[in-house]
Amino acid sequence: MSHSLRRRWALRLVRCAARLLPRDRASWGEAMCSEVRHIEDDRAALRWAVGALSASGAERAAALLDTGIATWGLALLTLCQALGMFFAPILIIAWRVRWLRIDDLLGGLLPGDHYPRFIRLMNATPSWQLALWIAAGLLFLAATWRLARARHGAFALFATALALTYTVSGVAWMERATHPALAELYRRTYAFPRPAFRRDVLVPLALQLLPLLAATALWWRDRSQPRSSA
Amino acid sequence: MARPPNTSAQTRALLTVLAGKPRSWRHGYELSKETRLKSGTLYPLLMRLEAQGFLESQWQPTRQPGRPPRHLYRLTSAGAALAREHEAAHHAPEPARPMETPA
Repeated sequence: MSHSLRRRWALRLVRCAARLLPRDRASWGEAMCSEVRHIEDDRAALRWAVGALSASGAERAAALLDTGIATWGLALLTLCQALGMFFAPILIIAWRVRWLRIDDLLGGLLPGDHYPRFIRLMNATPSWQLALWIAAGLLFLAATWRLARARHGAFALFATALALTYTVSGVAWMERATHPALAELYRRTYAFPRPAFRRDVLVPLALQLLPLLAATALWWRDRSQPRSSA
Repeated sequence: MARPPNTSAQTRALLTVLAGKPRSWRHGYELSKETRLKSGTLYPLLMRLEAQGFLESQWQPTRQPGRPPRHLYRLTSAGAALAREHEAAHHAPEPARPMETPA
């Protein structure tokens, strides 16, 4: 066997692949290491090792996502998405109908100061937007239910709900772009006296990234699980 | 509607190659060259088929000095039956369409 750079890297990568596999797949790690040593061509051996590493990563990810902790973590994240979707519609509806002071209760959870600063924006929010937020929330709830029952198909529900929220955001953005008064109202509502890194950067970033990470994890989980129950 | 398991094109290609010589033990690199599947695709398929009982494996010592034993694979009887099912489904004639009557 040659000792070229490609061969040395092939052996290193395949050893990493073997270590990455879950414990119940350990014999496959030995199989990968052995197979690389039987491939004469160094370039082919390196390609084989890279593929083996990719396969091991996929197996490890599937094993991690199959654990109870991961499933319940994803379910909790999905439930938070659902509650987030219901928050604004319930606050706005409660405000409009003066419903049992629920608007005061929810308003206290909003960032910044006293929530009535959002009143003009709440009044300007069209009913179709509230309806779509509620629909997205129901889809997120359905995805949570499927996860909690360890059933297949949570990704499709989650992805549909996420697509719905992005559609609503996109349409709302276009409305602001074509209606300067609305854009100005939005800008004034979200103008806080002092910048705050957590409120202005961290929270919006988390609110964008976490659903995308959850969607990726759910897709991977659905892909690697056997479809034993619909 | 969810796709049934073991029906991807890659799985069918692997089953076809393995079913071509059902009693022969084959190693991974040979399967990769015949199916044109890279190791990143081949290994998960092999692992899944073995876990489902469609594939069996064994270690074969080699005569070449300095080389470790090699992992070999072949279909179990259940795997051979699955391969025949896929082959039959692939070659099943299409249902005849009713003849169109002229206007």
